[in-house]
Amino acid sequence: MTETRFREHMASGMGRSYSLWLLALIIAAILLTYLFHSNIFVLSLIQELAVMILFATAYNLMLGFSGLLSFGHGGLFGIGAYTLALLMVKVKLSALWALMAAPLLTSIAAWGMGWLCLRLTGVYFAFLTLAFSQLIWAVIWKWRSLTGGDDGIIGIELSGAIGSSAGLFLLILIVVIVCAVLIKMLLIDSQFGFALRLIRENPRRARAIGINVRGYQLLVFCASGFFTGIAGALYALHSGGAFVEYASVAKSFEPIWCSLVGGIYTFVGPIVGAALMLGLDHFISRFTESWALFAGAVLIIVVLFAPEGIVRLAECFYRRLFRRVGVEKWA
Amino acid sequence: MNLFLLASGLSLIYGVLGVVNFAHGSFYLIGAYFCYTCAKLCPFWFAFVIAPLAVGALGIITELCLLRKVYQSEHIYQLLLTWGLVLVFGDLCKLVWGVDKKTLGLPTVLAEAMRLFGTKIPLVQIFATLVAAIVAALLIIVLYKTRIGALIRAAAADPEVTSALGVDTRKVYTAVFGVGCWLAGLGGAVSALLMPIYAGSDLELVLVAFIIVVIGGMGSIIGSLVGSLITGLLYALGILLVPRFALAFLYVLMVGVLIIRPWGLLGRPQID
Repeated sequence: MTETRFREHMASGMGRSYSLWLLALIIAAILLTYLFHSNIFVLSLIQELAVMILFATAYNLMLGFSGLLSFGHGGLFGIGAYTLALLMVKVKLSALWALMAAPLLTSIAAWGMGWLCLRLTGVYFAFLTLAFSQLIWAVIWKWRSLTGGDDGIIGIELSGAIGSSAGLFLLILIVVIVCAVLIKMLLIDSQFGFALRLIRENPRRARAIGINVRGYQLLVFCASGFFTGIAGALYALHSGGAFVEYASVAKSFEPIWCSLVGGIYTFVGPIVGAALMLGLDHFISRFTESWALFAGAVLIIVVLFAPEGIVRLAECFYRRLFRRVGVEKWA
Repeated sequence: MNLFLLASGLSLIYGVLGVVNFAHGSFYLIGAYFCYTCAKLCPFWFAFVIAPLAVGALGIITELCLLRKVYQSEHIYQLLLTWGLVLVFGDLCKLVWGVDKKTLGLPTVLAEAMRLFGTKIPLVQIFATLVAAIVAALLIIVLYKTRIGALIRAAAADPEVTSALGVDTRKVYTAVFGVGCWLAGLGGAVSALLMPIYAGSDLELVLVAFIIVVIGGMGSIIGSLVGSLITGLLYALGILLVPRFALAFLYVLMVGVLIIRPWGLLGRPQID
């Protein structure tokens, strides 16, 4: 099990040509902007998807690559969104500065959360992060004078190059692409990433060969928080404000769903999961309001029958197909 | 004291099955709703007995159909499975009982107040405390003084050896999960007397229960008794002093316990 997982990590995803991927994706983003610059609905849909992808990818750094199940990322997402909104509305900073401050503050929060929660592992860790996320949510909700309570913060004004919807779209897309490539390059395909996976598979051995297990876990929590903060800030830009539901448990649940359904042991899993979630959300909300019922049922089915996610499932299917046709080379 | 019923079920299930049941708050909520519906159809006392039993039966079905399949997988999957249950149960409750608050009319016997030490205490409060105290005593007696309790403790300590000695541990697991859910349902039924029932309280509840269990020590019934007493008192104190941030007191306490004794006041250290 372990060995195959490692082998496939090496083979899957972007490979090693990061700059090529970066370039290709950015060109694709510019093309998309050019194509849809007048269609606000499509722009906002893709924007939302991009933010979700970043959120899920950042999240899966913990769940998939370090084996830490956090239920607290909604809180971090909320901190990112509120930092940006507060800085822009109350301090009148420009979007770019606010966008830089948000992940810093979020990673500091993640550090604090990690410092406390990583005292325990497994289920305890999951519940503790949930508790802290609830605490963040409660503070945002009750601290009316700063955060506006359940009215949220509205009135983010954009000017200059990102004043138009197409400009904002391009900014969000490019930030997401750069972040995703950075995550893949620095945190997954690196020595750091391999150490994380070793800790996930066998923490005792990791400790025995001299890896500072808790230090690494704390670091990945911060990194994950950093990118979650960016996702939250971008989401605030996308929706023009920050609201208390951005820090809710439901928000924590979204990246978990994406990662698990897509496949937690792959880099593309959360991305596929994010696309699937948004697609299903838009599709299902046409018929019924019980999105959670459906999402929960899918989650249970995936846990029982395809715990490695649909990306892995598709991979197996595709292999079998090529074997049957007799093309061993592609299988 | 009502919290004890919730926390002890969570702690019991964790202690024996090794699974933290995220859906525990949902079972509690369902218990409250069942009690509400049954009380409309039949006499209150009957509803009060039947509702927790129904929740226990629901728990047994859940264990047989779903939970049993993931004992062998990683903890992450067990937790995610019960999280899926939270979502499903939560939405089903909203579909069946709606989103507005529901209040259960008190039976006439409990509607009065009693004079005790110069202050008036509503009889419901006394009743709720009594129920919890009786259940606590029963649980401790059954777990530590009877053969069934010995079997449960054996299955918790070492399932392999226990099953080698001829005990069907799977049945023990199912039964314990059922009892845990029954406790949650009973807690819900009692809470239906004390306060209005509202959808969406399931997560809050399981969090509070978890805080209690962390403070008291996972898997220890006495620990969850002590934990719920401390938590209840502290929360009441918090409401007296700073009502808006009463919950913050609990967090501070939990953080304190975690720093000093990560395995809880009466628990045993975690072995990894």
